[in-house]
Amino acid sequence: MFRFVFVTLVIFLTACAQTPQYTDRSTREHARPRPTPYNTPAQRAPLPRPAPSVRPPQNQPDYQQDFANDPRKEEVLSAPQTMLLNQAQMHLAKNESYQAASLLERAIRINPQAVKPYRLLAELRLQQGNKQAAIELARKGLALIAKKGDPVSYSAEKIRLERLVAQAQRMQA
Amino acid sequence: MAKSKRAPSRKTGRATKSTSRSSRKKASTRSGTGLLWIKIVLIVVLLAAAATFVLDSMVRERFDGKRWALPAKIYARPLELYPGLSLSAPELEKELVRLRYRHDTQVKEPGSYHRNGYRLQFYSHDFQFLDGLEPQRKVEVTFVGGEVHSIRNLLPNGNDRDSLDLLRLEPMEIGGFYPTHNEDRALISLDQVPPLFIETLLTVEDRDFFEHKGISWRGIARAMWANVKAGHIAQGGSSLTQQLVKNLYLSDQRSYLRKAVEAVMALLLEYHYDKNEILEAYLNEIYLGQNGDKSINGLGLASSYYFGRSVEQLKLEQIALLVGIIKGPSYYDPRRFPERALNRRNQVLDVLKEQGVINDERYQWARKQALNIVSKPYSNSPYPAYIDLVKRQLRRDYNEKDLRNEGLRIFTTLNPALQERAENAVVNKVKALESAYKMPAGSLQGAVMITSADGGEVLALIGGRDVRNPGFNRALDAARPIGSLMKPAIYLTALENYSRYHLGSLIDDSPIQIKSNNKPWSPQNYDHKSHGRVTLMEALAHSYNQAATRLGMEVGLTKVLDTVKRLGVERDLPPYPAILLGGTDLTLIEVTTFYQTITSDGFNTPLRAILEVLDAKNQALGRYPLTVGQRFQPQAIALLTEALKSVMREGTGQGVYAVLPRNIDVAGKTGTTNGMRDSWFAGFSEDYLTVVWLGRDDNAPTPLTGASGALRVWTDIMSRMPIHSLQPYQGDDIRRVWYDPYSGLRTGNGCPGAVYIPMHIASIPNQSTDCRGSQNSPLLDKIRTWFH
Repeated sequence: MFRFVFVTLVIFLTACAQTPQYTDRSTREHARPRPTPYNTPAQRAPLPRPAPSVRPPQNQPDYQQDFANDPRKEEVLSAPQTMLLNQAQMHLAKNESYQAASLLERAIRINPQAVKPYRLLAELRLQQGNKQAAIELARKGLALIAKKGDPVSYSAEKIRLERLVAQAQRMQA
Repeated sequence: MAKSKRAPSRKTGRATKSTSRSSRKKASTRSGTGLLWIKIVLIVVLLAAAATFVLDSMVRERFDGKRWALPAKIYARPLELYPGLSLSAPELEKELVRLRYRHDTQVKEPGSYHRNGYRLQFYSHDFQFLDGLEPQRKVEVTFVGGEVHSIRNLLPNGNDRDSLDLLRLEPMEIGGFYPTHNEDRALISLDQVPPLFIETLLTVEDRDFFEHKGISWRGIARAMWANVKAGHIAQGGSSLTQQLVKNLYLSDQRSYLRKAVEAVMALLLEYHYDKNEILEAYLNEIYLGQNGDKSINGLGLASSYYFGRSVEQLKLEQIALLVGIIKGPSYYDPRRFPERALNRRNQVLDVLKEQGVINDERYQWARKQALNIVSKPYSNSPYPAYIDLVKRQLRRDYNEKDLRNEGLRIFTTLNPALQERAENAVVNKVKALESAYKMPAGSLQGAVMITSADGGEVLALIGGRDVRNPGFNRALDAARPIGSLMKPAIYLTALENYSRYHLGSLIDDSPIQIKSNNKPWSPQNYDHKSHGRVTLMEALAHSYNQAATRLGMEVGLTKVLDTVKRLGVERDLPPYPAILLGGTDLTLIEVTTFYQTITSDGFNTPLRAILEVLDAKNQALGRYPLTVGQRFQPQAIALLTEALKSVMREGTGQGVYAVLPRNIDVAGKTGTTNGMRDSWFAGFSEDYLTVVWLGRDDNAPTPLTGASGALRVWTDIMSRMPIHSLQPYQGDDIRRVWYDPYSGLRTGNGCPGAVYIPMHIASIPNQSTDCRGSQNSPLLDKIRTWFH
């Protein structure tokens, strides 16, 4: 009799042991790998505007002085593109690279032949330390300018792009 | 635990010693039977306990498992509206219908629209994108000449101006990752559900839900009474918990045993989880309809499926219908049996009024409303071949488990309008070609890919003529010989060498024999004729095999293969001369990559279907950024593009201008393989690159060439799209000159035999010549030739 009871008790207890753990949502750990296509930007302290003879800050394009006084030399962009580029530049200033890139790509989609979005994307990549990508995007901008046959309207952007390429190449060396 | 009935005789003293053997025997028989019964009871109890434990663990595991499975959603590209966009009013209307917008002349709420000729008013939903929240807006869009003319804000608030420069619509949901195969989910939380819905649900289905412990005896009694009164089964007595158990764990089998198990599990469920958790699970699990082979489970999905709105937006009469059809979603299907559904809905309204949940005024109003069911959405994913590409790209970069468990939102580049046009073209043209050429029905297959010419974004993808049913994805997996599609690589290699080759250079299109793979090889032209010395441009335009092979051997096979690699084809190709004429297998996506570099000014632009992946908190898990790599100079590409334009104007692609307007410059290349087993066309406008393949899965010959087959499909697609003419290269390092191919010199304007072609300045000859053969003096010309 006792043996019988003992055996059934063992079976009973085995059934207990197979009950899975109850996990509460709040205590569940999420350890997931996060592959990202490129490096996220490092935090940088803001640096003062350099005098022309001083080496520019790391990873910032070295043409702080725009050709603001001569609109003939500047590319003319449509209103939606201008809006998107302004928003992108706000995100760039805050180091929010995903948002900035998304806005710049939207601008490119609206007019794929515009040069400034590519230049800003190149600057973004440079900021992130991705020099080769910056160079390639700048070259794309230069190729777009070459196709247009209107050297005057794009002269400012051309110079910016060439300087960006030169700077990135210096950083690579 | 039964004690032995044989108490030790010592305790009671001498009396037991005198107990006779017979009475002892009787006692032992009685106790033996008793023992047997005890054993049986014990076994049954233990078995029941074991069963309960099993059910208990099932209950908890399944319940917890279901709650964690937030599906990932996949979105198409959002349509961006701005003045100047090539879009017509009917096309925008179609886009809104795709987004399940309802027609409403008042345009009262988000998700409604009204079109009046060239004016289209609509009220967009708000949507959270990675780069910000796009607020809901009520606008009027006007169209002029097939373009968006203006976007007027009808409800400006705060910072919004009256006219908008840019408006981004919410993107269409095109698919997702789901916990199980044929189910679908739009999970909601309890606080999203209107209180009126809960009241209605409880009133109709389980009035004592918050009081009982899983089974409502009152509910059962009430139902029994109602059934007796009615004379048939009019009410079910199952509590919500029991219904949830049925939905979550059990099959449709009806039996007493199942009812018993259901009851036990309902009790267990209530023991472990609180009322709100159970209610929330119920609202997400309840079966509410069938869409083809996909079941509609859960309130979130049902309110979208029937009414095109989210749960929060449900109105009284809509709530009444949804609750009403719980009893029998197929029987009360409002699309198939609208009268039954209406009656059932009104029945529910009656009960609500009876029980005092709604007053008479609301009751009367709701009763008067029509069912207002929206048009059915697509079953499963509407674009399975495209989703296939998306999933492959994701699986390469993320854990499958992450994708299933995180409530991700995946933003793709799919353009549903282009996708549908491409699908129609493929389905219709393939059928038409089969019957025109008397091919066996169903034998001809096709695949198409459309990308943005500059950005490499995959806008449409077709993997086979049966566009709704995912099967073999020919665009991604069918590697077929590409034939003449390879030729641009030869010509590009030559054209890069500005000092040696240009579009006017002469090549000999005469018989040629070379060793390929240790065997002699004599490529033939399609028309089996030789054409003498022809310009590079003519040779490519007419796809002459002999000239191409000769040129390829001249520039060097290794160089050509290197060009192919630079164009972005990663596959290693064997260095046999037959490669020059495309005797090598590539998939359609590889061919698209090849031509993408050409359309992107010589920049290899890896194709993207995904833009970004956001988690449930709208943080980016990752982005797929626009990436470019310069492989060729834009000038060489521009020259090649001129030759590819010539294919369409003068060459094998001429058929296109029977349909396309002549003022639109497009470029492309036909491809026909040995035995006409493959019919290819790759071509582009300023904005789109489209590659088409036709052929048979069994690799049997077809009667189709690239021009008579794939080009027809291509033309059908492109002619229905708002395409723009290719912009010419305007840099001053390429000039158009009058050129005399036979002398190799520049010549005068319009001279006989001369061609007016673009040349890189490094190719332009310094010297010029007079016209060859003037009309007036053949004798003088003859004398002139003595001195050349």
